[in-house]
Amino acid sequence: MTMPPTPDNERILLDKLREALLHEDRQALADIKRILEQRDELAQRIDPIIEAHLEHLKEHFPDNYLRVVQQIVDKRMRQKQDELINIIYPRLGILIRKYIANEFRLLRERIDQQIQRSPLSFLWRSRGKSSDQILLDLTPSIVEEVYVISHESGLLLGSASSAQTADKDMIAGMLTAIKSFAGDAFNRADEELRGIQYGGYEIMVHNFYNYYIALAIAGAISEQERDDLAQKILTFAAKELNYDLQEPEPAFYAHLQTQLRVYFIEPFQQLPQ
Amino acid sequence: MISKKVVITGHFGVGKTSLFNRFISNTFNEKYLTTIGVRVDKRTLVIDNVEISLVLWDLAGEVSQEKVPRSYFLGASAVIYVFDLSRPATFSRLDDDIQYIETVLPGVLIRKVANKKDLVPDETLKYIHGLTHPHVFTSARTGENVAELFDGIARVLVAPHTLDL
Repeated sequence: MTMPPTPDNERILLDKLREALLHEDRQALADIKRILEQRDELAQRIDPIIEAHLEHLKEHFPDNYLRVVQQIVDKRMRQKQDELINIIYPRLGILIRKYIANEFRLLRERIDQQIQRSPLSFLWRSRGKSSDQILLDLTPSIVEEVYVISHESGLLLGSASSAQTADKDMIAGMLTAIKSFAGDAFNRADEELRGIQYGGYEIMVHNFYNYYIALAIAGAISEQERDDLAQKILTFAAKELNYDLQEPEPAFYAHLQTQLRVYFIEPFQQLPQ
Repeated sequence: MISKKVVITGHFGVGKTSLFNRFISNTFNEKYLTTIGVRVDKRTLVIDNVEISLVLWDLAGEVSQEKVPRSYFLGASAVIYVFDLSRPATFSRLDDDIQYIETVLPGVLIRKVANKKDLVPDETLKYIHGLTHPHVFTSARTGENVAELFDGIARVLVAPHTLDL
Protein backbone atom coordinates (compact mmCIF):
# COMPACT_ATOMS: atom_id res chain seq x y z
CA MET A 1 0.00 0.00 0.00
CA THR A 2 1.37 3.37 -0.96
CA MET A 3 0.88 6.46 1.18
CA PRO A 4 -1.03 9.40 -0.37
CA PRO A 5 1.43 12.30 -1.25
CA THR A 6 0.56 14.78 1.56
CA PRO A 7 3.24 17.13 3.02
CA ASP A 8 3.33 15.09 6.29
CA ASN A 9 3.80 11.85 4.47
CA GLU A 10 6.57 13.31 2.35
CA ARG A 11 8.41 14.46 5.49
CA ILE A 12 8.10 10.99 7.09
CA LEU A 13 9.44 9.39 3.93
CA LEU A 14 12.32 11.83 3.74
CA ASP A 15 13.24 11.10 7.39
CA LYS A 16 13.24 7.37 6.74
CA LEU A 17 15.38 7.84 3.66
CA ARG A 18 17.83 10.07 5.61
CA GLU A 19 17.98 7.48 8.42
CA ALA A 20 18.76 4.70 5.95
CA LEU A 21 21.42 6.69 4.12
CA LEU A 22 23.17 8.40 7.04
CA HIS A 23 22.91 5.70 9.72
CA GLU A 24 26.52 4.58 9.42
CA ASP A 25 27.90 8.10 9.19
CA ARG A 26 25.95 9.16 12.26
CA GLN A 27 27.24 6.16 14.18
CA ALA A 28 30.84 6.98 13.19
CA LEU A 29 30.34 10.63 14.18
CA ALA A 30 29.00 9.59 17.60
CA ASP A 31 32.03 7.32 18.10
CA ILE A 32 34.45 10.15 17.22
CA LYS A 33 32.61 12.52 19.56
CA ARG A 34 32.82 9.97 22.38
CA ILE A 35 36.54 9.49 21.81
CA LEU A 36 37.16 13.23 21.79
CA GLU A 37 35.20 13.76 24.99
CA GLN A 38 36.73 10.78 26.86
CA ARG A 39 40.25 11.79 27.86
CA ASP A 40 41.44 8.21 28.40
CA GLU A 41 40.25 7.02 25.03
CA LEU A 42 41.70 10.09 23.31
CA ALA A 43 45.05 9.59 25.08
CA GLN A 44 45.07 5.92 24.12
CA ARG A 45 44.91 6.88 20.47
CA ILE A 46 46.97 10.08 20.40
CA ASP A 47 49.82 9.22 22.82
CA PRO A 48 51.51 6.70 20.51
CA ILE A 49 51.45 9.27 17.70
CA ILE A 50 52.98 11.97 19.88
CA GLU A 51 55.55 9.56 21.28
CA ALA A 52 56.52 8.45 17.81
CA HIS A 53 56.82 12.09 16.76
CA LEU A 54 58.93 12.97 19.81
CA GLU A 55 61.16 10.00 19.16
CA HIS A 56 61.60 11.13 15.60
CA LEU A 57 62.33 14.67 16.79
CA LYS A 58 64.93 13.39 19.26
CA GLU A 59 66.70 11.46 16.55
CA HIS A 60 66.48 14.08 13.83
CA PHE A 61 66.52 17.33 15.82
CA PRO A 62 70.03 18.34 14.73
CA ASP A 63 69.16 17.77 11.04
CA ASN A 64 66.08 19.96 11.14
CA TYR A 65 66.75 22.56 13.78
CA LEU A 66 70.50 22.82 14.42
CA ARG A 67 70.97 25.67 11.97
CA VAL A 68 68.04 27.62 13.44
CA VAL A 69 69.29 27.11 17.02
CA GLN A 70 72.81 28.12 16.02
CA GLN A 71 71.48 31.27 14.40
CA ILE A 72 69.51 32.15 17.55
CA VAL A 73 72.52 31.49 19.81
CA ASP A 74 74.86 33.48 17.53
CA LYS A 75 72.45 36.40 17.45
CA ARG A 76 71.98 36.30 21.23
CA MET A 77 75.74 36.12 21.80
CA ARG A 78 76.34 39.12 19.58
CA GLN A 79 73.61 41.10 21.33
CA LYS A 80 74.78 40.19 24.81
CA GLN A 81 78.53 40.10 24.25
CA ASP A 82 79.33 42.28 27.25
CA GLU A 83 77.00 40.33 29.49
CA LEU A 84 78.60 37.03 28.47
CA ILE A 85 82.10 38.35 29.03
CA ASN A 86 81.05 39.69 32.42
CA ILE A 87 79.84 36.19 33.30
CA ILE A 88 82.93 34.40 31.99
CA TYR A 89 85.62 36.84 33.17
CA PRO A 90 85.35 36.27 36.96
CA ARG A 91 84.98 32.51 36.48
CA LEU A 92 88.16 32.40 34.44
CA GLY A 93 89.84 34.39 37.18
CA ILE A 94 88.75 31.87 39.81
CA LEU A 95 90.12 28.98 37.73
CA ILE A 96 93.44 30.73 37.13
CA ARG A 97 93.75 31.62 40.81
CA LYS A 98 93.10 28.00 41.80
CA TYR A 99 95.77 26.79 39.41
CA ILE A 100 98.33 29.35 40.59
CA ALA A 101 97.50 28.68 44.28
CA ASN A 102 98.05 24.98 43.73
CA GLU A 103 101.37 25.57 41.96
CA PHE A 104 102.48 27.85 44.82
CA ARG A 105 101.48 25.23 47.39
CA LEU A 106 103.59 22.65 45.58
CA LEU A 107 106.49 25.10 45.36
CA ARG A 108 106.19 25.88 49.09
CA GLU A 109 106.19 22.19 49.91
CA ARG A 110 109.31 21.64 47.81
CA ILE A 111 111.09 24.55 49.51
CA ASP A 112 110.06 23.27 52.96
CA GLN A 113 111.42 19.85 52.09
CA GLN A 114 114.70 21.36 50.91
CA ILE A 115 114.98 23.37 54.14
CA GLN A 116 114.20 20.30 56.26
CA ARG A 117 117.00 18.43 54.53
CA SER A 118 119.40 21.34 54.95
CA PRO A 119 121.97 21.06 57.80
CA LEU A 120 120.98 24.67 58.80
CA SER A 121 117.29 23.88 59.24
CA PHE A 122 117.51 24.35 63.03
CA LEU A 123 118.13 28.11 62.38
CA TRP A 124 114.79 28.50 60.56
CA ARG A 125 112.87 26.62 63.25
CA SER A 126 114.33 28.66 66.10
CA ARG A 127 113.10 31.96 64.68
CA GLY A 128 109.38 31.37 65.25
CA LYS A 129 107.15 34.22 63.93
CA SER A 130 108.63 36.64 61.45
CA SER A 131 108.74 40.35 62.27
CA ASP A 132 106.29 40.98 59.39
CA GLN A 133 103.85 38.52 60.91
CA ILE A 134 104.11 40.16 64.35
CA LEU A 135 103.43 43.58 62.78
CA LEU A 136 100.45 42.23 60.87
CA ASP A 137 99.02 40.76 64.07
CA LEU A 138 99.28 44.16 65.78
CA THR A 139 97.53 46.12 63.00
CA PRO A 140 94.73 44.07 61.50
CA SER A 141 93.50 45.28 58.13
CA ILE A 142 89.97 46.55 57.60
CA VAL A 143 88.12 47.09 54.33
CA GLU A 144 86.71 50.59 54.79
CA GLU A 145 85.31 51.23 51.33
CA VAL A 146 84.45 49.30 48.22
CA TYR A 147 83.65 50.62 44.77
CA VAL A 148 82.46 49.08 41.51
CA ILE A 149 83.44 51.44 38.71
CA SER A 150 82.90 51.44 34.96
CA HIS A 151 86.29 51.10 33.21
CA GLU A 152 85.86 53.66 30.47
CA SER A 153 83.61 56.36 31.87
CA GLY A 154 84.77 56.10 35.47
CA LEU A 155 81.14 56.32 36.52
CA LEU A 156 80.27 54.64 39.80
CA LEU A 157 78.10 51.54 39.51
CA GLY A 158 77.97 50.79 43.22
CA SER A 159 79.74 51.42 46.49
CA ALA A 160 79.65 50.76 50.22
CA SER A 161 81.68 52.15 53.07
CA SER A 162 81.97 51.91 56.82
CA ALA A 163 82.31 55.67 57.30
CA GLN A 164 81.40 58.96 55.63
CA THR A 165 83.95 59.82 52.95
CA ALA A 166 84.48 62.33 50.18
CA ASP A 167 82.11 62.30 47.22
CA LYS A 168 82.12 58.77 45.88
CA ASP A 169 81.46 59.78 42.26
CA MET A 170 84.52 62.03 42.43
CA ILE A 171 86.65 59.24 43.93
CA ALA A 172 85.50 56.86 41.18
CA GLY A 173 86.34 59.42 38.48
CA MET A 174 89.75 60.32 39.89
CA LEU A 175 90.68 56.68 40.44
CA THR A 176 89.79 55.94 36.82
CA ALA A 177 91.77 58.96 35.67
CA ILE A 178 94.80 57.75 37.67
CA LYS A 179 94.42 54.29 36.15
CA SER A 180 94.21 55.78 32.66
CA PHE A 181 97.18 58.04 33.37
CA ALA A 182 99.31 55.13 34.59
CA GLY A 183 98.39 53.10 31.50
CA ASP A 184 99.16 55.96 29.10
CA ALA A 185 102.28 57.15 30.90
CA PHE A 186 103.96 53.76 30.82
CA ASN A 187 102.43 52.87 27.48
CA ARG A 188 101.46 49.39 28.64
CA ALA A 189 98.11 48.56 27.13
CA ASP A 190 98.39 44.97 28.35
CA GLU A 191 98.92 45.97 31.99
CA GLU A 192 96.52 47.46 34.51
CA LEU A 193 96.99 49.39 37.74
CA ARG A 194 96.43 46.92 40.56
CA GLY A 195 96.84 49.08 43.62
CA ILE A 196 97.82 52.35 45.23
CA GLN A 197 99.59 52.51 48.58
CA TYR A 198 100.22 55.39 50.93
CA GLY A 199 101.35 54.83 54.48
CA GLY A 200 99.20 52.27 56.19
CA TYR A 201 96.46 52.64 53.60
CA GLU A 202 96.00 50.76 50.41
CA ILE A 203 93.60 50.82 47.48
CA MET A 204 93.41 47.36 45.99
CA VAL A 205 92.19 47.29 42.38
CA HIS A 206 90.82 44.24 40.62
CA ASN A 207 90.08 44.64 36.92
CA PHE A 208 87.32 42.93 34.98
CA TYR A 209 86.12 43.31 31.40
CA ASN A 210 84.19 46.58 31.48
CA TYR A 211 84.36 47.45 35.16
CA TYR A 212 86.76 47.22 38.06
CA ILE A 213 86.42 46.79 41.80
CA ALA A 214 88.47 48.91 44.20
CA LEU A 215 88.82 48.22 47.92
CA ALA A 216 90.15 50.85 50.31
CA ILE A 217 91.96 48.95 53.06
CA ALA A 218 93.29 50.44 56.29
CA GLY A 219 96.10 48.65 58.10
CA ALA A 220 98.77 46.21 57.02
CA ILE A 221 97.52 43.41 54.82
CA SER A 222 99.18 40.02 54.63
CA GLU A 223 99.57 38.06 51.42
CA GLN A 224 97.07 35.54 52.71
CA GLU A 225 94.50 38.27 53.40
CA ARG A 226 95.16 39.78 49.98
CA ASP A 227 94.60 36.40 48.44
CA ASP A 228 91.38 35.87 50.40
CA LEU A 229 90.07 39.29 49.36
CA ALA A 230 90.92 38.66 45.72
CA GLN A 231 89.01 35.39 45.93
CA LYS A 232 86.06 37.16 47.53
CA ILE A 233 86.09 39.80 44.77
CA LEU A 234 86.00 37.09 42.11
CA THR A 235 83.14 35.28 43.83
CA PHE A 236 81.23 38.54 44.21
CA ALA A 237 81.74 39.43 40.55
CA ALA A 238 80.66 35.98 39.38
CA LYS A 239 77.48 36.10 41.44
CA GLU A 240 76.45 39.74 41.42
CA LEU A 241 77.92 41.36 38.31
CA ASN A 242 77.08 38.89 35.57
CA TYR A 243 74.90 41.39 33.72
CA ASP A 244 75.20 43.80 30.85
CA LEU A 245 76.40 46.76 32.90
CA GLN A 246 75.99 49.38 30.16
CA GLU A 247 72.39 50.26 31.03
CA PRO A 248 71.49 48.55 34.31
CA GLU A 249 67.98 48.70 35.77
CA PRO A 250 67.58 51.25 38.61
CA ALA A 251 66.92 48.43 41.11
CA PHE A 252 70.35 46.98 40.27
CA TYR A 253 72.16 49.88 42.00
CA ALA A 254 70.32 49.39 45.30
CA HIS A 255 70.88 45.63 45.19
CA LEU A 256 74.57 46.08 44.38
CA GLN A 257 75.05 48.47 47.27
CA THR A 258 73.45 46.01 49.71
CA GLN A 259 75.53 43.12 48.44
CA LEU A 260 78.79 45.12 48.55
CA ARG A 261 78.08 45.88 52.19
CA VAL A 262 77.30 42.23 52.96
CA TYR A 263 80.41 40.89 51.20
CA PHE A 264 83.05 43.45 52.08
CA ILE A 265 82.07 45.87 54.85
CA GLU A 266 80.03 43.88 57.38
CA PRO A 267 82.55 41.03 57.90
CA PHE A 268 85.11 43.61 59.07
CA GLN A 269 82.65 45.40 61.34
CA GLN A 270 82.08 42.13 63.19
CA LEU A 271 85.79 41.72 63.95
CA PRO A 272 87.06 42.72 67.42
CA GLN A 273 88.81 46.11 66.93
CA MET B 1 69.46 59.22 39.32
CA ILE B 2 71.28 59.32 35.99
CA SER B 3 75.06 59.86 35.92
CA LYS B 4 76.82 61.11 32.79
CA LYS B 5 80.46 61.81 32.11
CA VAL B 6 81.19 65.19 30.54
CA VAL B 7 84.71 66.03 29.37
CA ILE B 8 85.99 69.62 29.20
CA THR B 9 88.90 69.95 26.81
CA GLY B 10 90.76 72.45 24.67
CA HIS B 11 94.03 74.39 24.31
CA PHE B 12 96.15 75.58 27.28
CA GLY B 13 94.79 78.52 29.25
CA VAL B 14 91.43 78.84 27.51
CA GLY B 15 89.52 78.77 30.80
CA LYS B 16 88.47 75.12 31.09
CA THR B 17 89.14 74.97 34.82
CA SER B 18 87.52 78.38 35.30
CA LEU B 19 84.34 77.14 33.59
CA PHE B 20 84.57 73.97 35.70
CA ASN B 21 84.93 75.98 38.93
CA ARG B 22 82.22 78.44 37.93
CA PHE B 23 79.79 75.59 37.35
CA ILE B 24 80.78 73.39 40.32
CA SER B 25 81.29 76.01 43.03
CA ASN B 26 80.31 79.32 41.38
CA THR B 27 83.81 80.71 41.98
CA PHE B 28 86.43 82.37 39.80
CA ASN B 29 90.14 82.71 40.48
CA GLU B 30 92.14 85.39 38.65
CA LYS B 31 95.35 83.37 39.07
CA TYR B 32 96.23 80.96 36.29
CA LEU B 33 97.01 77.50 37.67
CA THR B 34 97.71 74.89 35.07
CA THR B 35 95.81 71.61 35.42
CA ILE B 36 97.99 68.55 35.78
CA GLY B 37 96.46 65.45 34.25
CA VAL B 38 92.77 65.71 35.04
CA ARG B 39 90.39 66.96 37.70
CA VAL B 40 87.09 65.26 38.38
CA ASP B 41 84.08 66.70 40.17
CA LYS B 42 80.33 66.55 39.84
CA ARG B 43 77.17 68.57 40.14
CA THR B 44 73.62 67.35 40.20
CA LEU B 45 70.91 69.15 38.21
CA VAL B 46 67.18 68.54 38.04
CA ILE B 47 65.75 68.70 34.53
CA ASP B 48 62.00 68.15 34.07
CA ASN B 49 61.84 66.34 37.43
CA VAL B 50 64.71 64.04 36.44
CA GLU B 51 67.89 64.19 38.54
CA ILE B 52 71.08 64.06 36.48
CA SER B 53 74.56 64.00 37.91
CA LEU B 54 77.13 65.53 35.57
CA VAL B 55 80.53 64.05 36.39
CA LEU B 56 82.94 66.56 34.85
CA TRP B 57 86.45 65.66 33.72
CA ASP B 58 88.51 68.82 33.38
CA LEU B 59 91.45 67.77 31.23
CA ALA B 60 94.87 69.39 31.11
CA GLY B 61 95.17 71.67 28.08
CA GLU B 62 96.88 70.44 24.94
CA VAL B 63 97.70 72.21 21.68
CA SER B 64 96.10 69.33 19.81
CA GLN B 65 93.42 66.92 20.99
CA GLU B 66 95.45 64.04 19.59
CA LYS B 67 97.86 64.62 22.48
CA VAL B 68 95.15 64.09 25.09
CA PRO B 69 95.19 60.50 26.40
CA ARG B 70 92.46 58.75 24.45
CA SER B 71 91.29 56.91 27.55
CA TYR B 72 90.20 60.20 29.16
CA PHE B 73 87.50 60.57 26.50
CA LEU B 74 86.14 57.04 26.70
CA GLY B 75 82.66 56.64 28.12
CA ALA B 76 81.89 60.37 27.86
CA SER B 77 78.35 61.39 26.97
CA ALA B 78 79.33 64.96 26.11
CA VAL B 79 82.49 66.89 25.27
CA ILE B 80 82.89 70.62 25.84
CA TYR B 81 85.57 72.00 23.53
CA VAL B 82 86.67 75.36 24.91
CA PHE B 83 88.63 78.02 23.06
CA ASP B 84 89.77 81.50 24.02
CA LEU B 85 88.21 84.35 22.02
CA SER B 86 91.23 86.55 22.75
CA ARG B 87 93.81 84.05 21.38
CA PRO B 88 93.25 82.92 17.78
CA ALA B 89 95.85 80.16 18.20
CA THR B 90 93.38 78.34 20.48
CA PHE B 91 90.83 77.91 17.69
CA SER B 92 93.16 77.53 14.74
CA ARG B 93 92.87 73.72 14.97
CA LEU B 94 89.19 73.70 15.89
CA ASP B 95 87.90 71.64 12.94
CA ASP B 96 90.69 69.07 13.18
CA ASP B 97 90.19 68.72 16.93
CA ILE B 98 86.42 68.31 16.62
CA GLN B 99 86.92 65.73 13.88
CA TYR B 100 89.36 63.84 16.09
CA ILE B 101 86.93 63.83 19.04
CA GLU B 102 84.18 62.54 16.73
CA THR B 103 86.49 59.72 15.69
CA VAL B 104 87.24 58.75 19.29
CA LEU B 105 83.61 59.08 20.41
CA PRO B 106 81.27 58.63 17.44
CA GLY B 107 77.92 60.33 17.97
CA VAL B 108 78.97 62.10 21.17
CA LEU B 109 77.35 65.43 22.04
CA ILE B 110 79.93 68.15 21.35
CA ARG B 111 79.63 71.77 22.44
CA LYS B 112 82.05 74.33 20.99
CA VAL B 113 82.43 77.00 23.64
CA ALA B 114 83.94 80.43 22.92
CA ASN B 115 85.16 81.58 26.33
CA LYS B 116 86.48 84.91 27.70
CA LYS B 117 83.66 86.83 26.06
CA ASP B 118 84.33 89.69 28.49
CA LEU B 119 87.77 90.29 26.94
CA VAL B 120 86.77 91.00 23.31
CA PRO B 121 84.66 93.70 21.63
CA ASP B 122 81.40 92.88 19.88
CA GLU B 123 82.87 93.25 16.35
CA THR B 124 85.49 90.61 17.15
CA LEU B 125 82.77 88.34 18.52
CA LYS B 126 80.88 88.62 15.23
CA TYR B 127 84.00 87.93 13.23
CA ILE B 128 84.97 84.88 15.28
CA HIS B 129 81.40 83.63 15.22
CA GLY B 130 81.60 83.56 11.43
CA LEU B 131 84.84 81.60 11.59
CA THR B 132 84.07 79.07 14.30
CA HIS B 133 80.26 78.84 14.76
CA PRO B 134 80.44 78.16 18.50
CA HIS B 135 77.37 76.80 20.29
CA VAL B 136 77.75 79.41 23.01
CA PHE B 137 79.85 82.43 24.02
CA THR B 138 80.75 82.32 27.71
CA SER B 139 82.65 84.22 30.32
CA ALA B 140 83.83 82.20 33.29
CA ARG B 141 84.84 85.46 34.98
CA THR B 142 81.33 87.01 34.90
CA GLY B 143 79.52 83.68 34.78
CA GLU B 144 77.70 84.66 31.57
CA ASN B 145 76.09 81.65 29.85
CA VAL B 146 77.96 79.13 32.02
CA ALA B 147 74.85 77.76 33.73
CA GLU B 148 73.03 77.80 30.37
CA LEU B 149 75.82 75.76 28.78
CA PHE B 150 75.66 72.96 31.35
CA ASP B 151 71.88 73.14 31.65
CA GLY B 152 71.59 72.70 27.88
CA ILE B 153 73.90 69.69 27.92
CA ALA B 154 72.01 68.12 30.82
CA ARG B 155 68.73 68.69 28.99
CA VAL B 156 69.97 66.79 25.91
CA LEU B 157 71.39 63.95 28.03
CA VAL B 158 68.20 63.63 30.06
CA ALA B 159 65.90 63.62 27.00
CA PRO B 160 65.97 59.85 26.29
CA HIS B 161 65.11 59.20 29.96
CA THR B 162 62.15 61.61 30.11
CA LEU B 163 60.48 59.69 27.27
CA ASP B 164 60.06 56.79 29.71
CA LEU B 165 58.19 58.86 32.30
